[in-house]
Amino acid sequence: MTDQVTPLSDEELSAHLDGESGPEVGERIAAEPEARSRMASLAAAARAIAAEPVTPLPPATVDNIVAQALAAATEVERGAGGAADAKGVSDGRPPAPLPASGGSGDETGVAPLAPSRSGRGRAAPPAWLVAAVVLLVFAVGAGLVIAGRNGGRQDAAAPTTSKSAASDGAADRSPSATGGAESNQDQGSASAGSPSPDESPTLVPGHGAPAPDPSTTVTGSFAVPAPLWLGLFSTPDALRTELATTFPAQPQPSPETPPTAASIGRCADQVGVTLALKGKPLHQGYASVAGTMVLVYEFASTSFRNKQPTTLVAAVGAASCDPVVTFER
Amino acid sequence: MTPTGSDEERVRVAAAQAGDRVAVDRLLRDHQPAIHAVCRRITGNDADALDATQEALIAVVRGLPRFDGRSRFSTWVYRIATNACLDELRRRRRRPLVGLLGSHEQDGPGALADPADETADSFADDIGERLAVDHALQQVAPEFRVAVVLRDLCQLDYAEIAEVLEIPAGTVRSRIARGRAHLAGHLRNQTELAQRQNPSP
Repeated sequence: MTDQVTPLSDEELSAHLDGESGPEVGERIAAEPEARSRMASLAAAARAIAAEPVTPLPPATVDNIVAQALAAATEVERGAGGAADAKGVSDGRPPAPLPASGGSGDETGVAPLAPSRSGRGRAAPPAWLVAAVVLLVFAVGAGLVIAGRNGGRQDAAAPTTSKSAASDGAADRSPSATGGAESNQDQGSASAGSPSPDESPTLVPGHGAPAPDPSTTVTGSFAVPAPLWLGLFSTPDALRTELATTFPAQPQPSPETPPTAASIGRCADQVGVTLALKGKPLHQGYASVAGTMVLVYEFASTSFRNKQPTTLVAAVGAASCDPVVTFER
Repeated sequence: MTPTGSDEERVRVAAAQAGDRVAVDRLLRDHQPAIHAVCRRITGNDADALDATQEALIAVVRGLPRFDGRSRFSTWVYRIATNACLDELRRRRRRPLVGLLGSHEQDGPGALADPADETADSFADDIGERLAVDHALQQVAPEFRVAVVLRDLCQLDYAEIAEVLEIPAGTVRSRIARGRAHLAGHLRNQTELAQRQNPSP
């Protein structure tokens, strides 16, 4: 009878990486190639997190957030905050008495600077104000739904990607013209349930359909050009070569179904936030790279090499905004 | 339990609790980089990380009177930072930006900038790497992501992580393992897709 040895689990291998396992685990790893291979994979994942540095906050930002926090201390001392936020402290004890502000150290205190970004450190607004805001948002949303139903063609984008963008104020966090347009358009489709099969995407330049009404694709004070079909490419490098100097200016017929405004705006927001890019894309397009739909953006940027104004091109997968190719001109 | 941590920090904490604003300012500035690094990795983007960092600093100041020194001050701060990040993730779920959360899609992971391209700007390569790690980490469930970040970025040991997260050490061990396994899988998917899209000549 052959004893079947249970393979080492990921938990045992991971603990061994951290020195939290017994010597027998190390002996088995040394003797089992599969265990060594698996542990190498886990070690690589651990290194990936440690290796990628986090860009420190600029000194001015640090000064600001520290000032905001010290302002919270001032509120606590004045009794305006009441019992302090207990989220981060879990010793289970009741709040201790607050120290008097007349203790040792700097007596002048720190005057708060600009108000906090989200105002979350302040006291809760009165209930009547909250109710009024909720009713107002509801009324605006209902108005948009009615306008959407009575308007022209609606975008057939998935409602889950955009229906809450306008209602809870997320649009003001990182407003996207296409995302904003999408939220306006999709109020109709969202409330009607699944999109009508007769509905077609509004962003269809060169697709053989009539040119869309620009007012249905752009909202707000910032206009982003409709995405252009860039072509079929066998590799990301081929796409990079095509866009090495400029973004195409003229639309061309597309054999592919264009991406929805919601997906374009979603990935644009993610790229912009992840890369700390200011402003919306100068241009956007879509292409097929090795059979996979990618969304392509051109942003105004500052060259990392020489600090001069330049443009940065980022291509990401349409499905989950994963990076495909990124380069700076 | 004898409180641990440097003598200087203990003195500063005591002074801060007594109302010394200079001491409070110093404590916040000393711990802000670590708080921000944790928040950036857990939330996956600069904006949410900044919000979470701000919330954490405010919570540190407000909670100072209740810090009793039974744990290291840094451990206590990490707990606050982690809670602030998890709160930020919960707020983000209520205002979805789907691409940032990650959809666990299997057909998504894309290629990095072509490593064979000798003219590739190193800055663009760094961008690609950062996007890839960020994207892969956001695919990992928050409870596993937090454990992995505390271990591999902050270098806390299992006991400290258990204290930060207020969970048993065995659960810490399990979460770290699962987080690393998921992250390894997502990074491998990205590499494989990159190889398919950029086959060797």
